[in-house]
Amino acid sequence: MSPILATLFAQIGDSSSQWGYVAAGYGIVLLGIAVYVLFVLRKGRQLSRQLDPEDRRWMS
Amino acid sequence: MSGDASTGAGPSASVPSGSGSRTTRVLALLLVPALALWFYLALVASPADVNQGEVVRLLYLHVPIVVVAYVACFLAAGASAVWFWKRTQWWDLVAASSAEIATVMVAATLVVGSIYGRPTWGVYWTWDARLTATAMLMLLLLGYLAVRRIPASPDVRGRRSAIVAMLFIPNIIVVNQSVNWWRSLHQEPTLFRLSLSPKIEGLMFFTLMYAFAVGILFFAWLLVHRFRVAYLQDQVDALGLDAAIEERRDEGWDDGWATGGATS
Repeated sequence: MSPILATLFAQIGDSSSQWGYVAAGYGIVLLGIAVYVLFVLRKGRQLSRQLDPEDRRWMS
Repeated sequence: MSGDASTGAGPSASVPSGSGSRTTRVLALLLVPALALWFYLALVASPADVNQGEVVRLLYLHVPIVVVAYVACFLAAGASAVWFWKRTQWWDLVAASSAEIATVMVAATLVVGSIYGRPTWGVYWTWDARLTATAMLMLLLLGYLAVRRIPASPDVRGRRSAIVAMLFIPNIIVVNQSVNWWRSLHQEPTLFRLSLSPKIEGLMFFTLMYAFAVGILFFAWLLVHRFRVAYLQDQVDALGLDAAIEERRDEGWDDGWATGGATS
């Protein structure tokens, strides 16, 4: 393989490896935060069903 | 989420089912395009770094999350300090909600920081001053949440957790200053430097500043929801306690001892 192609492939490999870290970082963190947000919203719906409207202050 | 505990808005027919309201929906509508623009700037528009390459894109996630975690911790500590003065449920719940969000954000900081560390330092984790101080903050936040789960009256729970929350601020100062006080693998501050000259500029600087703003907006939206859930949980717990007391009274009545000499 020519040195130019070897350098090019090395750069592509290095870049794709870097993008792997970027994808893992964004993917894991955003998924984790999304799960937490869904948990909070779902819990809010569940709890509000158990209360009469007059027992809900600070809700609007 | 407004007003103090003594005034309180009265019930209304427009009370929504869930923790959402018109305010949170407006915030959510603002957040959707704002988040999309954040990720476009961070992942597409901003250039790769000369030294770090494409990995620098993790900076636009890592740093705003840390800032949100700091803000949440400061708010939790501030609300706890006010709780000592006002002693109202509102301030206790603001502190608790903020601390829980801070826990999630610090956990996210540690995860994305580890992933960021591997290509830049060669390791996912090292007992560096900054990393260790951040791990200690995480443990402190988990301790705060654990203290809140110990069965106690609202006043005792509020006092215990407010004392723990006071420790957030010195811990954050240690986290923030650790790169200045000790020799650290972690880089020195990029933005908040004594010389007031940030080490970042152009579109990279704009992306980071924009990410801070969107991160704070997201925190505000989430805090309103989490506060309402905490309040609803307290209400449900109080109703459960009232029902249990009523049940015990009825049992006593049925047994006859509660009426005493009323039958004689």
